[in-house]
Amino acid sequence: MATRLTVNEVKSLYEKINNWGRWGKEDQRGALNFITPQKRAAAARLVETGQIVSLSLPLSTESGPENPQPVQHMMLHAGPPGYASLDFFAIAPHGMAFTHLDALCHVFWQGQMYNGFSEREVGRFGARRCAIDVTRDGIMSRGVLLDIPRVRNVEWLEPREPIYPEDLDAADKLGNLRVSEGDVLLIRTGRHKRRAAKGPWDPRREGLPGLDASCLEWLHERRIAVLGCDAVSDIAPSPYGAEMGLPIHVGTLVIQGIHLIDNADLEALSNACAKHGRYEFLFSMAPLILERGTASPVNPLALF
Amino acid sequence: MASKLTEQEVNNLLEKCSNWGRWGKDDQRGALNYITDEKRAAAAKLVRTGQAVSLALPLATVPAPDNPTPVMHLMQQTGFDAHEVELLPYVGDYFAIAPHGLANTHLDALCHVFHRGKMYNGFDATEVGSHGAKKCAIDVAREGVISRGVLLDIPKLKGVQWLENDVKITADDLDAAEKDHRVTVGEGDVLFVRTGRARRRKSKGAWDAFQAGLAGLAADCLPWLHQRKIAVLGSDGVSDAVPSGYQQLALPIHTCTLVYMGVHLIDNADLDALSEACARSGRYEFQFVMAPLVLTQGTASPVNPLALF
Repeated sequence: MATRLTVNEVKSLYEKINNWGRWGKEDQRGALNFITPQKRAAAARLVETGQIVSLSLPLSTESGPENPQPVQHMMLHAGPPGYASLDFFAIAPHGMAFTHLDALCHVFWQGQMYNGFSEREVGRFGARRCAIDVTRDGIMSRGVLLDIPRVRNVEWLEPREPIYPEDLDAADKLGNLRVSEGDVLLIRTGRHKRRAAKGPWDPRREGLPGLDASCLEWLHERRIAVLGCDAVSDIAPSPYGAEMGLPIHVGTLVIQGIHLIDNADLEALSNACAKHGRYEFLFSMAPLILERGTASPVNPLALF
Repeated sequence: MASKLTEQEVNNLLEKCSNWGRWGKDDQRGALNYITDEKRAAAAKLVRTGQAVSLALPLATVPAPDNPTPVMHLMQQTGFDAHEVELLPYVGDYFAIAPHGLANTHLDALCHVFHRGKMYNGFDATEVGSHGAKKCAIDVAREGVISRGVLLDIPKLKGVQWLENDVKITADDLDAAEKDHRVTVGEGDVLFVRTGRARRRKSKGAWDAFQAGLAGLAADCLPWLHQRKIAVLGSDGVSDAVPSGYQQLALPIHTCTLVYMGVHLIDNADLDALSEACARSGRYEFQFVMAPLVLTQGTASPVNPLALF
């Protein structure tokens, strides 16, 4: 059984896995640079049946324990009289309720974001560096699912339960995948299956399962382009308490330049992968072009 | 040259192009049903170089003559105050958007417009209330739209930078563009008709299309679109020519595609980069990918449609 890294060990790891400067000192796209046109073309060749699966939760307009700031939906014009209906949506995409893509400017480490840009690049006006619109041409690549409850033979992981590199290796082997350069890596914890069975809970108080900090080196070696999870990739709240904030968020967004998809719905994907006996697929995601934004709500798609 | 249809002729076309009942009386997806698994698998085989092109304008936060209700972008926390509240310094923001109109690239749900009190498949307009849409909402597209995309580039066909605001594209133009581009529009395709509007805007500045007009399709294109069995129609304008010149039918393309044919519409795309990519590669077909947000009971979603070559 793996033991948790100390705070100092995590800090040393941050230095070891750092991608700053790897794609030039002005780069704002980070590990998205691993996705080449050749990688996209190869990913398209994975398509066999044409079956499509959405990895998004509905944008919830209901408040709940995990959704203190629900999406606002107002009708500007509804039905008759007149010939059209029009509406208005407002969303704060971060948090634990909506499927969204974090921009690299979302979190900081020692006052800096990815590639050493200052946190002061994000002001009242939004983000001048590493905003979400660096992904304006979309993200298409090989998608791979590591289905952790399946390799552990459980229904779901419990809140605060850690995932270790051995789990990633086991799931990698189960899917015969060899997670590699430019992949969009999705980690299933079974969060939404647990929610369907037991009802919603407050992830800030009761927690979420996620990756132990020791997984950061694994992610770095495999050169993934994007990391996604049905929870928030990190164990929540941080296992390091007041000593250190979410190490996966810092170690991916800031240190490695890896964009994060939080709160995906991976239940249908898990079933589709099991049915096809394939844990790889064409992954497509088209973040909205929110200039200077720190995130976008997304509806990621898997095509088999 | 085809002569302009009378309003009565257009009214007759609405019924003639109707797909109500075609996919069952409870169907809410309309022409999206033309996109089969086989169609999606075939579309993926179109990918060769792996070049990706976005077909979206940036979401417009600045007021302009074509954007009276800009997207609101508010910061909840910035890099200047991040340290005051959290162990993990972070920034976060808030966006508010009314996706319809002339400024943002969006997908219209089939419930967006009505004709004689009905929406697609005969559902009553009262299915849309203060709660939102109970029928034909945008979340019928929750599994995304992946298919073959086809561009018909009318300015290229005519050898101009863009179509002027009073130009109406006819069915003959669509035929000629197909011939010029060596592509044939068919069942389940996502069809884009380019007018060059985005280029004109970049060159001459924004204008209010409801005052000054907008190039688009003439009503005689409707039987063409119906016969080709397209799944989705998109434009860098709003597909309709504005004004239509008809008394009752302000937007005959919207009315006939959304209400009668069940064809979802992408309004205000940016097709300039696509036009260049198609011209460069000599290919006017590509894998099309669009993932509308899962906005339950919504009448539209902002989208960032993608073309993959």
